[in-house]
Amino acid sequence: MSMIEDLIEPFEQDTMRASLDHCIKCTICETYCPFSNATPLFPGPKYVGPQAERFRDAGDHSPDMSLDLCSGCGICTQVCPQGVKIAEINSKARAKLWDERGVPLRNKILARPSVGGRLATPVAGPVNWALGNRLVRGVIERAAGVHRKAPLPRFAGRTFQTWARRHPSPVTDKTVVYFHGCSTNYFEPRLGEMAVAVLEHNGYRVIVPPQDCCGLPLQSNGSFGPARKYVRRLAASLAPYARRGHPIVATSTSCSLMLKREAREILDVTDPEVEEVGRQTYDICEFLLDLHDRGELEVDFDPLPISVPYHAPCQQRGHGMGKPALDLFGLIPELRIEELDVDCCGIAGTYGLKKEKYDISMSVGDRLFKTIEKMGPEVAACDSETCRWQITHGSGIASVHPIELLYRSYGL
Amino acid sequence: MGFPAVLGLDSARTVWQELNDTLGVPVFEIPTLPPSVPGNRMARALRAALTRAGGRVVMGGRVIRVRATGKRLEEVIVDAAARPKAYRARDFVLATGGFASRGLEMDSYGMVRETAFDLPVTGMPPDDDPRWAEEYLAAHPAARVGIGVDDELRPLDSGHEPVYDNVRVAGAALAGAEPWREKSGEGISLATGLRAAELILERRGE
Repeated sequence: MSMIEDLIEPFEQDTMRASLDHCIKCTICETYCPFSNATPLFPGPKYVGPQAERFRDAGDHSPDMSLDLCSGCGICTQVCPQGVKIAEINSKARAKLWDERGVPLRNKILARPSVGGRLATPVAGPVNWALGNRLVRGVIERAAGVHRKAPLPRFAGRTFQTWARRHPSPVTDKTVVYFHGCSTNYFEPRLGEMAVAVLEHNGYRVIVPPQDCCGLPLQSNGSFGPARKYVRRLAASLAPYARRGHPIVATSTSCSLMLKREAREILDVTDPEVEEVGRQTYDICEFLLDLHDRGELEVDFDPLPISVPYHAPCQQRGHGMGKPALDLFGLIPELRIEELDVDCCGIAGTYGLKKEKYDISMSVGDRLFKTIEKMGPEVAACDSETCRWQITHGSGIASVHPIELLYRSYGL
Repeated sequence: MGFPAVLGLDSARTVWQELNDTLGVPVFEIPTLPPSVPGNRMARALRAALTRAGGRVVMGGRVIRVRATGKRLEEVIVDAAARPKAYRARDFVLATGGFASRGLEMDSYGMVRETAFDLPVTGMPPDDDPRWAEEYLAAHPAARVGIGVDDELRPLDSGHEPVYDNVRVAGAALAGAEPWREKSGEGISLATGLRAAELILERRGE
């Protein structure tokens, strides 16, 4: 190849990387990055992103580890006025970094919640006890690098899939497919039951196909190969329904973003099957609000005379669909919602669980925690599971998915 | 006494007051290179006010097309994850800025486009006239290009008729706006933004 072709080729193959040339150094990303604001160890999205990318040639190794402190929250891309795909550039560069240095075992384990779920569910009692025991956590921290205070969820001891297999969804002429995600399956099956109930209340038959992890934790921990395998397998489970025109509804805004966008933009997965599934993927609040816009949503909501703070997770905002949960809350009589205009809870999936990142993570979320704590509500609402667990951990306030408020208000 | 403009973000008033009291002289701020702390303060204050008033902010979406009925803009269609998303409204304010924020783009033929609503642009000198001055910081005729508006800030077409009745244009997207030369980018934004809001409310009779 000629020298010109050598220079052009990487850019033709990667439009995310090519977008770095739009950077005008306005530094807006730096001001919004919750993580560079919390620690001087992370120079910020502009530095490790478009700036450093100019020095990261296809074959060269990455010069420094500060990139690893990027949480992948994606706020930088959301706020960039020039369309630089900063978070995507960082994610890919980080994967290369870990590729060179080898992904630590801890990250491999944290990145496979469905494996952990399958192993731990039958012995949930003892596992939960162990994970709640200070001494055991101290040992785990020293041996495996998971911070002793990290907000690990409790295994439910049963799976949502088991419940779904035994639950006959009334047959109607409207069908949706539920993409529940690992957290609903192994940690919060109740959420899945509520989501199904809300959808059925609106006249939908809910199909819950066998399904596994979307691969997001693998992606954010830099294991792109396994991440691609997982997302392709997930798409294969959901594709038959997508092809029939059935919407795929999800209750985790992180997992659904994987199907909608990140598989293509970060993992470079362009399989038609994944694209097809992505096009039919909806966040549950997005889906219900669309119903409402068409006049098809059941609005028999009972009053809920409580005050609830709502936090939109970073990846929820990455959908670019606004905050449909807020519009749905507006339909519930007497419900007072406080929209928290604070950017990030700090957990960033598995980031805040890690020994070396826990303090940064808690520092990032501090303003959010204090704001919620001061309000003293019964519950806080948030569309992503890891954020909910972090919010409860940091503020002491119970945290629910928005769908739970609808479930209560419908009187189901 | 002048300080670099970094005197507090959330507690700017308190910081300023303390310095004033402690130093015993009037304290002022001198704008610095980006990021602008005073700009950030203003953005936060405006955003908080918008949230309190029940408004919604959706970040990062790129407008890919619009839908109109005659001179009424009905919907703005935004590039969102998986599917474009439509936003309907009674009134629209276009404040996407000039070249620096990609609200206006110039191609290699010197053709300028307004990138969100594809509104007609005006102010480009005729073909034979110079577009650029010699000095970098001089007044470049081509820099005055932008969206022409009537006295209700409605975008105009080449016949000086409003393109849409329910769209207002504010900020650096306006023809003739040169924030870097006037050294009052905020001034242009605030003045025209406020005026756009007043015009909308007047028309709604509030």
